[in-house]
Amino acid sequence: MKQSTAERPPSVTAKERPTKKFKKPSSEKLRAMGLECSISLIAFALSIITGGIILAILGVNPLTAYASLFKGALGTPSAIAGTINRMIPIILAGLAIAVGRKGSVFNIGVEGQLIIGALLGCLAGIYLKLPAIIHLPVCLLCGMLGGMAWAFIPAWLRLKKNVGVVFTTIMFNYIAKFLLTYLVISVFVTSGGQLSATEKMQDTARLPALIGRPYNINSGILIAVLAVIVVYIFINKTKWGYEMRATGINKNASGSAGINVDRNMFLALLISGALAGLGGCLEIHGSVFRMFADYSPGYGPTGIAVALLAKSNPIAVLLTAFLFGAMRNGAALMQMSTGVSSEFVSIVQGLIIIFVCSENFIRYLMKKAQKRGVAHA
Amino acid sequence: MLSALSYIVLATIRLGTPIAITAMGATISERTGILNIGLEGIMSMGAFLAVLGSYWTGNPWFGVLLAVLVGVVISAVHGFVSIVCGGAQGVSSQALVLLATGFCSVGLQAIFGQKGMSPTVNTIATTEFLRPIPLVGNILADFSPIVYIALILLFVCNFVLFKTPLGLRMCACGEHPRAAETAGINVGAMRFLGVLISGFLGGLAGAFLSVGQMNLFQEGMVAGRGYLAMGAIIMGRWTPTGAFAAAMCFGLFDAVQLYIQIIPNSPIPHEFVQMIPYVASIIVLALTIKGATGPAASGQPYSKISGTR
Repeated sequence: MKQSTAERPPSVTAKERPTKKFKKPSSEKLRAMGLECSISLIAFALSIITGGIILAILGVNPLTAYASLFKGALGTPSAIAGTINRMIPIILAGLAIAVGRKGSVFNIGVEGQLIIGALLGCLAGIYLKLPAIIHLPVCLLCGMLGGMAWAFIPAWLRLKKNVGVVFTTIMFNYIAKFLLTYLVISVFVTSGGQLSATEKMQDTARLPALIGRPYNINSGILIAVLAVIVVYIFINKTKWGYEMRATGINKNASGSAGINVDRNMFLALLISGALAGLGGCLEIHGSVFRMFADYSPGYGPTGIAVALLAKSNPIAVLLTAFLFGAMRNGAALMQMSTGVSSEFVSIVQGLIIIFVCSENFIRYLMKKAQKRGVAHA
Repeated sequence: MLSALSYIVLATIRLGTPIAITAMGATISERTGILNIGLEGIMSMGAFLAVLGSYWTGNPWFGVLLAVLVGVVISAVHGFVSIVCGGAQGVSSQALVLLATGFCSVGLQAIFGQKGMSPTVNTIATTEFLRPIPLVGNILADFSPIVYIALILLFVCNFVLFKTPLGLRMCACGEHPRAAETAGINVGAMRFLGVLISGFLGGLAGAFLSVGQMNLFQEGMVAGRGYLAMGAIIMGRWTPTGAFAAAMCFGLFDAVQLYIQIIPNSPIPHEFVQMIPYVASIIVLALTIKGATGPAASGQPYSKISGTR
C-alpha cells in the first residue's frame, strides 16, 4: 500500500489534495514549469520574427516598425500608463477564455459577451440614480450579468440540444454587434451633437483614478488583479474548480467518477461570459464613459492568444495580458509613424496562437537537440 | 409578388454559393478528421488576393488562381499545426482568422494605401457564353461562372468522397485513424489532403465574394459566412450534398434579409433585419441537430510527435 503512493507522480498527488496549502513545489514540478515558460517564450519570439518577415515582404522596415511599437507601448511614463489601462479588459478577456478552456469549453463568444456586458453596465451608469458607494458596484454587477446572459443561450443550447458552443457563440458575436448598433443609435442616443453614442455616464458610476493626471491610470487594474486572484482560487482551491478542471482534462473519466460533465461545461461558459462582461464594463467605466455604436474592440480574439500563451494559468494571464496590452497600445504610434496598420497586432496574435499550438513540435525539436547533446558527450 | 420571389431566388443562389463552396470543403476536411473553423479567415484572404491578382494583371481569373493558392498555403499551416504537431484544431484555426484579418488590413494600407476597402478591379460577375440560350439565357448569364463551377464541384466532391477508394480512405481517417493506419493508409497524408481541399475551396469562395459578386475588397465582407459553413456541415450531416443544401438555406435567410432591407418604410429596424441570417441559422440548427453525429475522430489529433498516435 505504501509503495503504491510512493510510485505516484508528484503532480497527481498535488491535484488530489487541493486543500493542502503552501506546499513547496518539487523540483520536478519546477522543471516542468520552466519548460512551459520557455516554450511560451520561444513561441513569442518566433511570432515576432515571423511578423517582422511579413512586414519586410510588405516593404516596411521591421526594425523601425518594432521600435515605434515599443516606444508607443513603454517608451514614456504616459505610454506605460496607457498600456496598463489597455491591459485591464485584456486581462478579463484572457481570464474568460482560460476559465472556459479549463472546463473544456472554447468560448469564441467573448467579444459579444464583452459588448453586451459593457452596454448593460454603461446603461446602468447613465440611468440609475444611486449613491456613489453602491452605484459603481451595481454597474459592474450589471455588466457581469449582461455577459452571463449573452453566454446563457449558447450554454443552454449546448446543454439541451447539444448544439456546438463554437458555432452559437460566434453567431452571438454578430448578433451582439447589431443589437448594440440598434440600441445606441435608435434608443439611447445622446441628445447633444452628432455622435452615434450614448450619453456620458454619471460621475458616481465612473471608476476613480488610481494615479491621477497627467497619467490617468484607472483603478480598474485593481479589480482586474482581484479577478485574477479570485479565479485562481476558484480553479485551484475549490471543489467546483476541481470538478471543472477534471472535466477539461478528461470528460469520460470525470463522467464515470460522478462529475456532472454537462453542468460543468454549462457553468464554465457562464462564468466565462460574466468575466467577459466585467472586462467590457471596466473599460467603459474606466476610460470611455459612454458606449459608441461601433464598439467592438477585438478583445475576444486577443483573449484567445492571451490565454493560450499563459497556458490558461490565471496568474500567467496577467503577464501575457501586459504583453498584448503593450502591443495594442504601441500599435497606434506605429501606425502614425510608419504607416503600418495597427491591425498588424492581429497578425502577431495569430502567429502566437499558431506557434503555441505547435508546441509539440518545439518540444520535439528540443528533445531531439538534447538527445544529440547526450550522444555527442 | 413574382418579382419579389425571383429576386429572392436569384439572391439566394448568389449568397448561398460562397457558403456552399466553403461548406463542401469543410465537409471533406472534417471527414478526414480535421476541423477547420478558420475558413472564415481563408475566405477573406481569398477575397483579398483575388482583388490583388485582378488589380495587378487586369485578369480576374488570375485573381481566382491567387486566391485558391493562398487558401491552400494557409490551410497547410493549419494542417501542419493540427496534423503534424497534434495541436488543438479549433484554436489553431482561430489563428487563421486573426492572421487573415490582420493581413488584409495591413495589406490594404501597404499595397493600395487605402483603409477599409480596395479600389475597384475587373470582375467575373457574368457568364457571357450562356446568353444565347433561349428563354433562360439572360438569367443564367447573370451569374458568375464560379456558381457553375460550384455545381460541378458538388458532383466531383460527392463522387470522390463516396465512390472512389480515395474517398473511402479519407473517411476512414476521420472515423478511426488507428484502424486506418493498420490497414496501411497514410493518415497524415489523407488528413493533409482534406485540409488542403478545404483551403482550396475556401479561397475560391472568397474570390467569388470579391471578384465574382462585387468588384472590390472590403474589410469584414465575409461577415461570418465561413462560420455559417460550419453550421451547414452539421445540418447537412457531413455530406457534400447536404452541406450544399444547408448552405443554400442560409443563403435564403441572407436573401430575405436583403429583400426586407430594400422594402421602403419597413417597420422593422434594419439592424434586426441584418440579424436574420445569424439568428435563423442558430434556430434551424437547433431544430435539426437531433441525431446528428459527425465523424467519430473529427477534431481529434493523431500525431506521432505529440504522442496521440
